[in-house]
Amino acid sequence: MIISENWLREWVDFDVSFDDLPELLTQAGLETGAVSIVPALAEGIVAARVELVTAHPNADGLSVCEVDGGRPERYQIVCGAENVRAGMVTVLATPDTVLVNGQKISNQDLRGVNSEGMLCSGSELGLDDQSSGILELDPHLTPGQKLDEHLQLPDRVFEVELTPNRGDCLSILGVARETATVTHGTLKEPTIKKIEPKSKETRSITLDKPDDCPRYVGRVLSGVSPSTRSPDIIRERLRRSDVRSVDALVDITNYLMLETGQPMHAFDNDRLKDGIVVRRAKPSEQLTLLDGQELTLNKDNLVIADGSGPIALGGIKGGASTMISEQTSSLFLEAASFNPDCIARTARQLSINSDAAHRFERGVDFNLPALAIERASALVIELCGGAPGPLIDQTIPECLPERRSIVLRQARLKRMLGTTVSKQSVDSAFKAAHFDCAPVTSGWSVTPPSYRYDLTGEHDLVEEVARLVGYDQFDSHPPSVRVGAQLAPEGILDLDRVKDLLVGLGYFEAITYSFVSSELQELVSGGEKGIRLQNPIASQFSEMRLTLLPGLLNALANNARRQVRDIRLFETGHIFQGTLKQRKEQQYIGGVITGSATGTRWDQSNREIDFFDVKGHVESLMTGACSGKSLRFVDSEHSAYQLGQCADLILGETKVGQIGRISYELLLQLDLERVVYGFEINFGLIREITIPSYTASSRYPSLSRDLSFIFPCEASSQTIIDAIRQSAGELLINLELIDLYKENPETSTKKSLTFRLTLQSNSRNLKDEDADAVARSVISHINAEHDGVLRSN
Amino acid sequence: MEKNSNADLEQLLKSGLSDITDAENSRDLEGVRVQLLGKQGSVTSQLKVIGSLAPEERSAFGAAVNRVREQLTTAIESRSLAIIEVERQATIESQRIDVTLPGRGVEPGGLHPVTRTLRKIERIFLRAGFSIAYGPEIEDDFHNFEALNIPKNHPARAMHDTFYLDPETVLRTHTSPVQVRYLENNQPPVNVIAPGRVYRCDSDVTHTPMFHQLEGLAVDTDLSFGDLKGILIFFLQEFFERDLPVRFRPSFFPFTEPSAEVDMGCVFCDGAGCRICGQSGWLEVLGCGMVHPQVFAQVGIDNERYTGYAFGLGIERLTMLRYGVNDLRVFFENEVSFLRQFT
Repeated sequence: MIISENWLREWVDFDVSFDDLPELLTQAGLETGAVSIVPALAEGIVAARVELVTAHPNADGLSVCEVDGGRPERYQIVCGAENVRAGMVTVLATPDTVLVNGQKISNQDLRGVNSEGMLCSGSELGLDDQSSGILELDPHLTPGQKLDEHLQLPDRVFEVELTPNRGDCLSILGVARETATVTHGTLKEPTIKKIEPKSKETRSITLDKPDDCPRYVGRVLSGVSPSTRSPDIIRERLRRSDVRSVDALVDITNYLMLETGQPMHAFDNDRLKDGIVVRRAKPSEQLTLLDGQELTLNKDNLVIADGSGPIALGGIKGGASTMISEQTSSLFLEAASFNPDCIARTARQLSINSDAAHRFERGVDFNLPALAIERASALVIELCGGAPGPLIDQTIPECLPERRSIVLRQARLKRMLGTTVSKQSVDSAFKAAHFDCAPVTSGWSVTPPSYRYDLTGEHDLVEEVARLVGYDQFDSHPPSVRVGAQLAPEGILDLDRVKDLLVGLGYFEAITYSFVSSELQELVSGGEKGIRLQNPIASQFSEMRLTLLPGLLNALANNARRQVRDIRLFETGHIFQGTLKQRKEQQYIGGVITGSATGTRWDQSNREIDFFDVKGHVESLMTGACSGKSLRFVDSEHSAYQLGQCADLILGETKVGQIGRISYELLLQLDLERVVYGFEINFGLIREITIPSYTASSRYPSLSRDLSFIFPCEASSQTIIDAIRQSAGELLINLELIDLYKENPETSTKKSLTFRLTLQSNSRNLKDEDADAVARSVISHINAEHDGVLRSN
Repeated sequence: MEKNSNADLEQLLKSGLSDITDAENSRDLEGVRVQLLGKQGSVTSQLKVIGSLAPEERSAFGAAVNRVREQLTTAIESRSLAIIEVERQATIESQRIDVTLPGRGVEPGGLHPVTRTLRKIERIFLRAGFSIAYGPEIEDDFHNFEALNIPKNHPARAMHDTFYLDPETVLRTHTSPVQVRYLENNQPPVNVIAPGRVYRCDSDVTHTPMFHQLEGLAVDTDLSFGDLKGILIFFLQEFFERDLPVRFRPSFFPFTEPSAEVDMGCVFCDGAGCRICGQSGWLEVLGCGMVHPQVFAQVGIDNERYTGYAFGLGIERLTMLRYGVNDLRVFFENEVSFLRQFT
């Protein structure tokens, strides 16, 4: 809502600097921007009448005008505006005038014709951001006349951003009222004259749904010419409020809505059939709006109807069939009071926004309609002529919004604000706000005014006092430490620790959108579909992610496109599996990695990352989670990963994640050229960890034995390791694979694995014989069960 | 072997000492030692002679030879120490490296700046006795709107550009539903913060369809607006590590009343007015208020017995102010060149 100082001052007297007003309003809850200036016109700018227009002899699109600018001889002006015409009154900048943009006007030759100045547009005068053509002014102006007073210049404006609870301030009147309150000024509500009827023309009004529309006021005005031009004062004020001027009638209804907050509508009275009925629409009833939009209505929608059916969507927009045209000679002007919920429901349901709906759904003063009609009628008669009929006011008083008195307890006020507000301060706040207020034993009893829809309970009055006294008036209490808040239990893995570990391994944390492209998701998840958004922001963000991989891979591809070669990214976040009705939202950790395993080194050749690097990373981050449980990697298949380089992570008995080399299809899809690995872990399944429990370490020395076996190539290392552990017995405290050898990496059918067994006892010194016994047991078991032959060397 | 004369012994000592001095390395010195004191050495052979001498000669000659041997032994030892020192110096010199060559560690990655900010915020509130709660990101209409006093058709719904999954299910538009969920499951006193992702169907230079908020909620028998002011001033000054001015302005949120927007003195110009604060000297940083009775009613908390406050802040906003990031969109492009700056 843009507020003009000149307009505002017509409604309120106040004694503070206008420049300070935004701050005062902001402190009272109306967020107000800085004041900007609409400048006075420069010296040398006057009203001028165009007397004669001829085409420029040497230039298409230019005209040569003879202009009466107030001096005896006419000015000769070259003008490029399309709207210039003989007889119009416009603005002339005479030579030596300096315009707001710094341009200096001079006598100059324009393509061989002398121009003694310039005819100006609104933007050249600083009145408008952009304008097409020169500014047309009221025809009665005297050429040579200064224009500042006529155009109400200079002026200052500011914009108020209103929260939804303050619909009462969506007007000059509302902001004036608030200005009076915060400045202790005086509201100047103009006395509105009752219009004496000059005709008997009237129309019956029936309120079929008084809960939705308890009040409907109208008047017939006959013999009008609605499409005349409205006067400069109205056009200027609309312009400063950022509303386009159309014709007198439209301008009048807009002007009054801006001024009072009451939306209005005018029907072509001759196109109305019988009486007006305000009712709910019948199922599937049709209505075409002013802008041509065709609606199919339902029983939730409130309509204004006549004998022919719906003619307007109540409180939202007028219909096409009864709209004003150039042929209109008789109007039916209306202003009504609507239930905010009813208007909001229809506006949402049909997705229609209008200034009227914006106001009605926030609540419009139910005492305004008659005043607005009287004021609008007076303006219509002044500008468009016509004979007014009697005012028709149809009201069902018991259905008007209730304004019950609310008690504000002084003790409650203190308890909520933490500071005692004196009785006088509260009295004075309520008085400044023009509330109907009476003292009661516990505090105050307040009846909210008709324009306030946001005051329904004691808490509303607490806020009202707080904002009027000023939030800065209340003490702030420094926090006292409250003991008893729960810290995260030690038996739960700290996600921050996992993140720090990955950072230590060279990973950067990414945060990607939780919605992804369904195409990519299908590739990652083997055709599985995610939960779909009804209104995605773009098609590549159309469904909720099933895994972290699509987002991470996109982020990786994004970096690869920028020539980053070594990329390690991880993300933690929710994934969304199942159907919407039976969804599982779970916390996951995922990572993707490409590039060098070691980073570039000056003494070593660069090695590409491979499966076992990433497996090592996963093992590192799982160390915190594994305590007491075994972690195994089991050969697996998954659409995101390449066959033969994919494993499930099994913690104890539970599958907790997956790791693998990203499939060729995905790399192709993402335009990635280098090998990429990825992993994902369900954080919920690894969160529970064991709290350490101390056991004394052995004081006896350890022994080690290296054993090399030859196995068929396809033997699984994990199986062999398990077998060694099992057959070595409890002296084995550590088992390491220290060598893997194939005579020919491509063709050998055998491989040699060398294990180092470290043995230790808690109770005695081990002897060589002990180690030999363990070795024998292992060798014979591996021999018998796993096809492994001890290598002789 | 003939017994040497005294003069011969002197000569032996002299030439021996000279050989020792001339030895330039451990090997030469060892050669000299063997030649003099080895089994076949010239001094050793004289020692052997002692036994064959007449008793009256033994004592004097023995003493003379032993003196020579001792002098030579001492000389060898001291020469040996000198040589070892020289050789060690040479070895050290040969092991000199270019210490400015790059190290071989793994270059660490880094946390996302949003996480960095969040951790800082969490630490501050943990210190003030708050615990941390989480909630789902796919929310039902009741928790996201209805229970927060935002009924259907309320104009405040238009302030939230909501992503819908079906007419009754949304991506949460704020972290406030966690308030409701927490109060459904916990009795006052309550002190809790709830960080997380939120979603709005809006995307332009200053909006991303996903961002992060942190919700705070405290409910107890006697919490007031003064306590709310206190905790937020404490938080902002701790977070920015400065004694910032903080102001509270009336505002509107359906689930709090009184409601306030909180501004702090601009950290870029110290309140003098700059481009970032729009010349006002103030930066809007968070919204807050006293819990609305309607919210208490929805979760069955007695509005007369308990009062409470709630606040919500945007993590990206604070991150931008703290680290001078001037473009919201870079947070979700995840470029390493951006992320690297927050390690």
